[in-house]
Amino acid sequence: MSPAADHLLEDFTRTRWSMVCRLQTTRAGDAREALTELALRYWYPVYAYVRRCGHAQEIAQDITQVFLQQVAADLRNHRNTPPGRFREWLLARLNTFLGGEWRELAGAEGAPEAPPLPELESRNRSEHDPEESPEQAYRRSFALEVLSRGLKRLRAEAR
Amino acid sequence: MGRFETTRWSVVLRARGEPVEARAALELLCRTYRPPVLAFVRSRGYAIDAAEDLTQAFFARFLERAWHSSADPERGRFRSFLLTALKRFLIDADAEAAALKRGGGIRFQALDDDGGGGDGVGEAPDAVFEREWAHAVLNAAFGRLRREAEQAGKLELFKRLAEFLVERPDESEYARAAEELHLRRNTLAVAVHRLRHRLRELVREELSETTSNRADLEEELHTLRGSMQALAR
Repeated sequence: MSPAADHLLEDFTRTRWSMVCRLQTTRAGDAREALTELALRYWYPVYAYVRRCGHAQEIAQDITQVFLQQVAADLRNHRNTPPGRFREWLLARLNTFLGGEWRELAGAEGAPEAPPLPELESRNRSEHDPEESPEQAYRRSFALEVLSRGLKRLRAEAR
Repeated sequence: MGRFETTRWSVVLRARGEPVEARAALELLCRTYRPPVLAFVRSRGYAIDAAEDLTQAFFARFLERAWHSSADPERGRFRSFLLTALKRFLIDADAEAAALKRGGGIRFQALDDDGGGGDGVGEAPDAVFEREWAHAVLNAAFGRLRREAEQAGKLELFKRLAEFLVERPDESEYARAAEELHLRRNTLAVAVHRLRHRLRELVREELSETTSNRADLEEELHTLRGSMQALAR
């Protein structure tokens, strides 16, 4: 395997707990920055999952926003890093969140700003596979997200 | 005790020799699934009054003669069992009606010529039965969801959110609902998802009441999905 591919694979398989650790930092500025990064990176996989559950665009966008806000808040208050891959942990957390008690209203103020809907939807259209389950859509888009970031980093390093 | 040991249909099946024990469970099942039976009878061409009478007579005989005691406890879905029993009953009823007609008395009028049938007339009776069964399952689950909301004092919220379970809202409608409920939009979105999730759980629970094992439940879910797609077309 070429060093470049090694590099990609490493990024692909590595969990993103380092970012989570930054969320737990005591410095407010750092934590905010980590939250923004977390939201930016994992927005689309979560959005893709919620869309595959059959929700309209705006509803899926809002659900994603509240979820990522709550995840960030949970992680900030959580001193120990949960075991396993971040990707699977996030998916399990998403399922718990979505299956919560509907009568207990969960919303969030000051949630990270959502990427614009046209952008999310253009990606959703281009990657749409009607046979795909929400979990498959999540895992595939998560992997693509990590790969494209790995590629960007490689390109930057090659310059 | 496993989940399937307490479903209504399991209770009925287990009580083969003891109809009293199973009576309440069976009556409840018959009440919930009366509409598909009526729709099936209607789609066979009976006028509404005659179809009502026949449906009534079918359930009375079903319960009186404890037909359920002949169901196979190993492999028994209430839906298939009920439909088979209904078909047999109608063959007898048709024969009886023909005999009465020959003898001068008409008890059940078959409506082949006046075109006055209601929903489902002209469609294959089995398809009508499946479609109405899916409706009955959804109605029962929706009723349970509504009762849960009522018990929690959230009926108004439920009514407003329930609109979004049926149809996809456009953005302005969604924003208006959030405003009327004094909720943030994203709070409304999460509640809509969770309500739908709960409805799905209740549909599954409702279906499991008519089955006695997991394999049958999965098959019922598969049939329900098929009927729902047919409904949406």
